[in-house]
Amino acid sequence: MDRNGNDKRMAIVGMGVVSPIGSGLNEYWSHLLNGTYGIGITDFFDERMYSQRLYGEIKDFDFDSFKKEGVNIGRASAFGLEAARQAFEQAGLPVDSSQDAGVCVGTILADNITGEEIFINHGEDRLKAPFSFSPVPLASQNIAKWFHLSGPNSTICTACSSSAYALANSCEMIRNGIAPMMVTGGVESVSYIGQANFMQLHALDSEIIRPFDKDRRGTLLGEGSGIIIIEPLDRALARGATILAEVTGIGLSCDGYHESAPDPSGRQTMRAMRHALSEASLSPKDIDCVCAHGTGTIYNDSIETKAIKEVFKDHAQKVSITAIKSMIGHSVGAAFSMQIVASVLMMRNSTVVPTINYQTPDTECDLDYTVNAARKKEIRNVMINSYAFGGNNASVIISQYAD
Amino acid sequence: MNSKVVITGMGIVSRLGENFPEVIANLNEDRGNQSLSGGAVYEDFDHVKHLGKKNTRNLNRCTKMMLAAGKLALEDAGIAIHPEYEEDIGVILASNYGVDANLREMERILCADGVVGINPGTSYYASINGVTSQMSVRMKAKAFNITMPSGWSSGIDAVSFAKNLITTGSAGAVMVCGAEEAPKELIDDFNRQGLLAEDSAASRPFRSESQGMILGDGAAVIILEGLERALSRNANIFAEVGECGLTYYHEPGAMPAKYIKEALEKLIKRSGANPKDIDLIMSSANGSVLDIAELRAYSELFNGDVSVFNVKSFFGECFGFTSILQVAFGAYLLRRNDIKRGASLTSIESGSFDLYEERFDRPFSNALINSVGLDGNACALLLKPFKS
Repeated sequence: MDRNGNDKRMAIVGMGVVSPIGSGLNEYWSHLLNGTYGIGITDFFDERMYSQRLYGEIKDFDFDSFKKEGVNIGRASAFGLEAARQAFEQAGLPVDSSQDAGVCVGTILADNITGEEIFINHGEDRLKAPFSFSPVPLASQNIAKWFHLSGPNSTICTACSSSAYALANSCEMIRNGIAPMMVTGGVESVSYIGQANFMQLHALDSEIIRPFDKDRRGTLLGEGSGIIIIEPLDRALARGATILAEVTGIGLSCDGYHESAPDPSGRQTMRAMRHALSEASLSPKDIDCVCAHGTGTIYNDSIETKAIKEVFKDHAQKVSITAIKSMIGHSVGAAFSMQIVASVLMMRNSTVVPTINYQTPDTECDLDYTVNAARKKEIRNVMINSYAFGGNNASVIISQYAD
Repeated sequence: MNSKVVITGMGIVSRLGENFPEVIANLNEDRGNQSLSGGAVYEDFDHVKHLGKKNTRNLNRCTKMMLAAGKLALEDAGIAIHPEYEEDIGVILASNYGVDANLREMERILCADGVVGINPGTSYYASINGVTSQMSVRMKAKAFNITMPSGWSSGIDAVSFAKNLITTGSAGAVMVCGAEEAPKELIDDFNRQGLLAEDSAASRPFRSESQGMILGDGAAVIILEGLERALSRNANIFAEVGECGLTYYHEPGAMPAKYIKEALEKLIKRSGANPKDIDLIMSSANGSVLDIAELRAYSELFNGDVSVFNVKSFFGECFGFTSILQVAFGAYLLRRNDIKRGASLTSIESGSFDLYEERFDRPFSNALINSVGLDGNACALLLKPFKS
């Protein structure tokens, strides 16, 4: 039983991923391990309009396999469906086997690109184009339709930490008996509006994404989806499922400081970390790896470093930190979902994947970021950090399953 | 750990009034029936009255309405957020179209002026969470700041998450908000699908001749609070939040009555209650094809001694806003019995359900909040009167 009296241990029993460096767990892991860079110039953004065209685009994706009559499948939904398909397969759950399961997906714009393209192609005549209700909950709803899931269907938006909060909601739903199993994670696809807004905020690096590097100038966006299936540990064991990891601690907090800038004190990011540690009944020295939010923006990386140092004290210099956004870019609402899949893989392969593109040390970012090459290491517990506009912080701890 | 969660305050900004006493007075004076004439958009909303002029230039309409309702709810609950417990207060917003107008405007600007035309000062409105963030930033509510754009039943979804987070100690109190705006283009989109009635007279919730819905806007905020916290400060407690049931109808086509009935049965069973224990239903009817299925489910599940209150008859379909309003009105009716008339409900299909408009001024023992949507969501929540 944890600090909050939760007597249900939460097991991860299936995972799937679609990313700019590959789809499927094997391909994703192989490229994370090798430090593959998944960002390049995309044709989505017209060079006459977009001076910044670097993006983590998913190419060679088979959208046709997700066309279904009567179901409105957009680009983000298709990524989510493919990731969910992989997760169901790994969990050993055939379609129709888990009808009471629910879905909770984190996203910012989900299938909004469908409407954006209609507007760009049809202009004010968009009224002639097909209309669905809000595009944001479509990914959650499409997963339920595809896999015949009649449990709760929920969508969370806390900007770039959306999928971490989706996991929090999913765990609470299971603990409170609202659903026996949850399909959760995040989806995000390319968006003309999204890229334009990040450009106007001067939040994008003009060359490369290099988290924690002294010369970092901003992040670079990408698309993708990570989906995991969670269920109570006892239920999973009873049906003979393979336990990939346990979700042992979740800490949430809000800066309440500014609509887009992070609180430079890092007070609330520290509170989220401490809350997660407390819920997991762990101390900082029990954490072997931090899968950092690590966006490559000047302030985010230095505030995250400051918070880790404050919370982890002497152990801060010993914990291995990695920023996978250096490879796949910032998949905004889906970012945490990509991190948690990577973290489970790191734990199961006893290896910390690298923070790539790191060249110049920064005195404000002076921890062990596992730069440029993967490193073998026994990993029992990983802390995953996820932050967002609006100061929406989340820290999640996953742990190796032990009897 | 909080064993029980209660509702201790509520605020509303709507076409029918800008706080609950005003809205109730208007209902009792039979102004409810006229509330939808000319549409359900609150065109006269004046944010200055609530927020002043300073620092509101970049706020959109949905945010202003939400902030105004939030202030009213905190006042009603007797809560002032002091620095020593700002980490104990969270915010959750149910909204689906709160930045719809902003996103459409950004599309237009991109096409007309290119990227440089996008205003970085309002870039946070590219995400629906941009609305909610204003609440946490301005009210200094730092436990968490979450937006749930889950569709038609997003309000019940938000109450469920808030209750769970209070129960497990992540917050002592949560401002659970429902806010929507309905820009003309959104109304055009719904109209094109044949979902809207031509005028308010043609939107007849629970009647087979209804031509469709009326879209509206507004904001409502309820304060959920752990019971011990509420008692320790002698709060006015409207109701206790009971079990939530959240389901999704994933089959093609409209949700049948059988599905709604089964979803409600499961919830009632899980709560340890009995259909006979329910004597107040806050219905989801909005004039759409789902109304008859909803009514049939009630008829099969409950006996005639149940009163059905339908907020969308007065406010139109407003998704997150109206689903929070259903909860607020349910809590209100459990605490106070001064709503004299259920005026809009005189139009219920004759003989299909035993319902009398004057029966809202009687004591109720349990309220069932039901929310079903054309997107497939079928969610419900039980509210119980608070007994010390």
